[in-house]
This record gives sequence, C-alpha cells and structure tokens, in this order.
Amino acid sequence: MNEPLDLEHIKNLAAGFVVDDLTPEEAEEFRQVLALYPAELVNEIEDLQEVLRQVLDGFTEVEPPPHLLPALLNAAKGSTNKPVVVKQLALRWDKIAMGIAALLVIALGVDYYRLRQNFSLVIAENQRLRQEFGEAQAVKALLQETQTRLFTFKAASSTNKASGSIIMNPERQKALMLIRNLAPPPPGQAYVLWTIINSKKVFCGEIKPYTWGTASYELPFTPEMYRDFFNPDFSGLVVTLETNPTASRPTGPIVMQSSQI
Amino acid sequence: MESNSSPFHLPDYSSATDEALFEALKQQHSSALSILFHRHGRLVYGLALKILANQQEAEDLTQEIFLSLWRNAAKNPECRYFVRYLVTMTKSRAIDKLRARHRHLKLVERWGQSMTTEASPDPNPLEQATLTERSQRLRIALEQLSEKQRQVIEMAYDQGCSQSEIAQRLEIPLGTVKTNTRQGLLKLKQILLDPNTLAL
Repeated sequence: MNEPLDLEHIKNLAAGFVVDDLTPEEAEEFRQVLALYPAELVNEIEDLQEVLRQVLDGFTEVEPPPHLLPALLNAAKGSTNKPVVVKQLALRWDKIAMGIAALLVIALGVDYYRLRQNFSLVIAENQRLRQEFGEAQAVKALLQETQTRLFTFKAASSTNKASGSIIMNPERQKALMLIRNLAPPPPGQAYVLWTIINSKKVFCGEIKPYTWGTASYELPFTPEMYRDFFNPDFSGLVVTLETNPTASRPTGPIVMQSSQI
Repeated sequence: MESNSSPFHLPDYSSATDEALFEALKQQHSSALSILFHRHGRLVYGLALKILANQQEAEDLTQEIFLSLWRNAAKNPECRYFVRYLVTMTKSRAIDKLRARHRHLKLVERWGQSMTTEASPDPNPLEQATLTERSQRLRIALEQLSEKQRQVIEMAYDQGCSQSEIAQRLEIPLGTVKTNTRQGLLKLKQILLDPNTLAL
C-alpha cells in the first residue's frame, strides 16, 4: 500500500465487491483497502448497494406472497442458534411431581408457540398496512390539490364489466389511470384514450399498463394534453379499441366513456 | 438501541440502519429479520422468480436465502452488506437449482413461461402505480448509460443471467462484462442517488 491511492480504481473495486465479481487478487486488495479506510469505503459500498437495490426494484414487477414472511419467521424460530440450557430435574422429585411438571412445560410451550406465531402474523400485517397507508397518502396528497381532477369511466356496453378512473393534476404533470375488469385488447388492437373537445375526439395516447384486469397506468400526457382538459369546450373522455394506436382519429368502437366528478 | 438481548424481545427496528439490524440479527432478534424481509423480500423473490420461472420454487428459495442470512449473520461478517449478500446468494443458488434440474430452456422461454403460467398475486392499483414509477425511474436512468453498460445490467438483473452467460450471448470477453457492469453501476450511482438528476 505504498503506492498513492487511485480513487477510480478503488471505486471500481467497490463496485466489483457489491456485484460480487472480484477476482481473488482484487478481493484481497479490496480487503486491505477496506481495512485502511473503513468509514469511507463502507459509505461507498452502502451507496452502491442502494443503487443495486433500486435497479432490482425497478426490474421487479411482483410482490412476495403475504404468507411468506410468517412462514419465514416460523422457520427461523426453529433454527435459532442460541444454546439451549437444559436443567436437570432434581432426583428427589417423585414421579407424580415430574409428570405434572412435564405437562406444565408442554402446556406453556404450546401457549408460547401460539403467542409467537400470532405475533409474527401481527408484524407482517402491520407492515402491509403501513405500506398501503404510505401509498394511499400519496394519492390523498394528489386529491387535496385544487387543480386535481377526477374522472370515472363506465363500459359503453352493458355486458362489459370494465370500469376505471383518471386522476390528474396539470401543475404536477401527473395523470394516473386506474382500470378494473378491462380485458386485454385482442391481438393487433389497442385501447386508445381520447378527450372530447367541441364534439371532436382528440388523441390522448394508448393505454398500455403492465397487466390487464385490475391495474394502474401513468398516462404520459404532453403539456398540451393537460391543457385540453381545461378547454371550455371539453366535454369528457372516451376509450376506443383501435387497430392503429397512433391514428389521429378514432375508427374503432367506444369501450368506456367518462363522467367527471 | 438494544438493551435486552433476548431473541424474543421485539424492539422496533423499522427505521434502524443496516449496521443496527446486523447487530440485532447476530443476536437472533426475529424482528430484525422481519424488517429485512420487508425491505428486501421483493428483490429476492422477484429475482428468484425471474430465474426459476416457478412460483413455488421462488418462494422456497426466498425463504432459504433469508434463513441463510439468519443463520450465518453471527459467523460471516460479509452478511452485513445485506443487498450484496441477498442478491449474490439468490442468483447463485437459483442458477445452481436450474442446473440441477437440467433445465436448458432459453432465457426468453423461461421469461415467457413466468409471465404466462405463474399466477403471482396481482398488485392492487396503488401498488401497481408504485411499481410503474420505480420502473420508469430506472428506465430513464438506464437510458443514460452506454449501450453495453445497459445491456449487461439488464441481462444480469432483469433476466438473471450469469456473467459468463452474458459474455457468451453478447460475444464479448468476461473481463468486458465485468468492466461494463461495474462502470454501469457507478454511473447509475451518480444518476439515481442525485435527487437533481432524476425528476419524474
């Protein structure tokens, strides 16, 4: 370590450490540098881990099933590394007293197991509720803003159960569409959203969430599209089924239409 | 933070640093494990599901990985770097499981299978909105990388490929895969951790 520190080289090693692709020589070099500059390098490692976390987070479209955490906590309970202290029963106890003690131990053990199991479930439920609360707060914040508008959609046909809503705020340039029971479009076709201005339909973009059925989709509106909502001649929104999702005029049937709240 | 070392005492670790959580894990405090699962469970499960393309196996592997962290925290100081440990272990064990099954499906086929046959729980609309925002934020950041850096990172963490698999598929040396992965991660650090560079 007599050579001057090459910061870029050390950052490169830290990145290699986090993605776990260091050669044995690099790993040894990094171990030595880490021992010399623990505070600086631990910060760098933590930042790079946060980046890796965000990368995986962005690529992940599923949530672990809710039963997984309670199952994990139960399994962890059975594999605790703590040493178990075994007390010798006094030999002077007679057999009846030993029997009663054993029954008590079993009864207390079962109660304790149930208590721990319930506690694990409560922790998991608490976490789920906290996450949902955080997400609901975000939508609530949007709803509290004066410029926010909310539209609901109903299926144009009585046999179709599709419904949805759009919440949008022109100041924050945010528009979110929530859909329910909207079947995937047939192959080669797409759902397209239109604003109705002066009885004419104006293109607002294709609706393409990651999943169909019940889902949400952040609408990539242009500033002009946001302005259309405040046009005095604006009278609503429709969703049509189109073969050309970029066409400037609708040719397909109306699937859903809006009413403003 | 911790005054009672009993594993059955459950303090609130919800805002604890990784260092504090690591100490609590070493003491076998199950609430620390619970918080770690809450923070990183979806990464492990999501990555396992992408590689294994089987929901039950992904669940089993997720449990196996967190249990391994639980058991090894006191023995292995490198467990302290949770994301690194969890991601490395998940990729390595999932790839081992694939090899053990002699499954030689191409990646695209695996991915297609996971998208069509696996019935993961549908996220509710709010969850979906959060997922969409996370995904968009990452896509914007990835667009700022060089093509090779973006490719290797997508292949490693979106498709679950090993580095040798990436080298083979892109027909580049393994060293180039490593360089691009590391440089890509460092560049993403500048983009994703600077609040001024990414505003959705």
